[in-house]
Amino acid sequence: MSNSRIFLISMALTACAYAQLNTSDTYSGPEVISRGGTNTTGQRAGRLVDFQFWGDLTGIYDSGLNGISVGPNGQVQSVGEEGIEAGGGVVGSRTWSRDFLSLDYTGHIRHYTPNSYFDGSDQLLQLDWRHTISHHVNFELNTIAGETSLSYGQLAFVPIRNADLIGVPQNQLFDNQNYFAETSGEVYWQKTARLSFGVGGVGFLTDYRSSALASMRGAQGRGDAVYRLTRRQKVYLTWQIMQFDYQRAFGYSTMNTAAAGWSMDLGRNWTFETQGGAMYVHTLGLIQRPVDPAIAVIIGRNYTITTSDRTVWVPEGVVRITRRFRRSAVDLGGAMTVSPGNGVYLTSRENNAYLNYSLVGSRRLSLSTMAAYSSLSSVGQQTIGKFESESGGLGATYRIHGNLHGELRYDFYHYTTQGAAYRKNENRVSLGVAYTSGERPLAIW
Amino acid sequence: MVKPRRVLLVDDEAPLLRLVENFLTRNGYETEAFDQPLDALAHFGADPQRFQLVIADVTMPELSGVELVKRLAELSADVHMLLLSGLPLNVERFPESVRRRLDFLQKPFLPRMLLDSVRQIEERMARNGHASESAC
Repeated sequence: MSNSRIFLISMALTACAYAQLNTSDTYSGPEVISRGGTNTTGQRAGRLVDFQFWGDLTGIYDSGLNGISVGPNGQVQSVGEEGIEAGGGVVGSRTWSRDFLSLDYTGHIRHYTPNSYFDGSDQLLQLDWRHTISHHVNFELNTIAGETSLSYGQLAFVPIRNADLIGVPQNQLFDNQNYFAETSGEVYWQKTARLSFGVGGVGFLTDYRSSALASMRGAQGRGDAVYRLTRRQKVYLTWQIMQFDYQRAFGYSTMNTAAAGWSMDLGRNWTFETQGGAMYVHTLGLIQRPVDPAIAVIIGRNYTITTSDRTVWVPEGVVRITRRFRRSAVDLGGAMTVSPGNGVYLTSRENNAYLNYSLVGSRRLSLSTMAAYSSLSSVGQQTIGKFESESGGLGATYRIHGNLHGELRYDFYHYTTQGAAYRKNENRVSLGVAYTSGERPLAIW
Repeated sequence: MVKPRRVLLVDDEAPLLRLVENFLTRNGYETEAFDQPLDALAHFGADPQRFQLVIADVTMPELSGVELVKRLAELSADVHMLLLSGLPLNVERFPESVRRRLDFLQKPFLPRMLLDSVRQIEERMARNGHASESAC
């Protein structure tokens, strides 16, 4: 085979690969973090899928469940419970001439026996809509909303990555029902073939059923300028302003972020995205301060509460590496950022890292596994120790017959709090059957 | 029901003033905040009917919260007052005309405790309002 023929074939294969990667006819270069990065809604194993419905029924065992209460010894008590869980979902995407819609919904309800205290439900809806206003202007609307009742409920939403989220509760201390929503809208203007501008906003909320936890409302405004250096590389500058407002506590925070980023497609399958900058964080809240023992004897109290009005610079950084194989995907990443906390911790510096792998086989098997680390340190609204968590999970489905699948999943969640010297080990095993409308192996996660 | 929808806040500790202002605004109250008690007194005096509730710290320079509420009570027969302090306060030392419109909340307090105090004042104002209407 001549060199020119080999060259032509390889060019054609490369073009096909890029077309698949971007689900459009023209390759527009790698995604950038300031615009959400590589989107995963409506995808399984890194590929967009046709609309597929599924339902499942599983037996579950959870260890280390803890409510917001303490036992006679003053310690948070943990229990193990077995029960049953039923759920369903739909995942898929559709493209029109000027619009693209992708949807991912998962819902479960569970009942424990003999104690029903931890009965609850998890739901997650992700909806992304892209609309081409004109040849140079696009609009994008992304929504995430749902509820969880377990502290590691986010593990059920493995396609979501830690660094994508502000309003989705993570790093939870207690198995308490919470509700969350996050919606963003952005307009992108492609000024030239290389230069584009984006402007948008995000609104988000987290509500805890327990009045002991601080619910949160927040908003973010942002803008960026993205320049395409080469066919496969982009650089950008972004600026964001964000506010967290705590509903059941005296406290709010305002953050200004300036960052620069670079993203690059490495060959056919790899995408590298990084962003670095600084956040100017202003926090206002009440903090406990210890009182001198001699004074404590006089006033009968060993602590006092004072206002904390603090402004700090916090480094901000995100790194993501994504690889898309034909039937599987790997996401590896980490971030240094500021998070709204978890209802106990308020505005916090967060460091996280994660690794996700998903596989949808050609005939019977689908597989998903993830591991994550996260830490929280109060920025200034609290005198509270560091929170660190490690979590992980492995799930698989296997086609038994026709559209009927077997389903097995294991998850763990471990955290420690330095100040309260509190540790938690939570494990979950689920085993059951699932039914799907699709022809391909069922991919729930 | 009569609601003290417009609240005058007075505290020389500006961060705490902003926290309380933000919290009450979020819970549906219109607030105007001052970190100088004399400024607050002048503002109130310009239109005494404008505010249904005043929340003030006790320990402030130039004019204490105790003195402030006495003067406010002279300017308006309707305004209710809530004093905040880290130290105990003997409300019996206030004249009857002030005492029946005065509440006290000791610091430190949780947001819920402040809201409960404000809502109790609302309920009392509503009862008094109904009583006045019945008398008429």
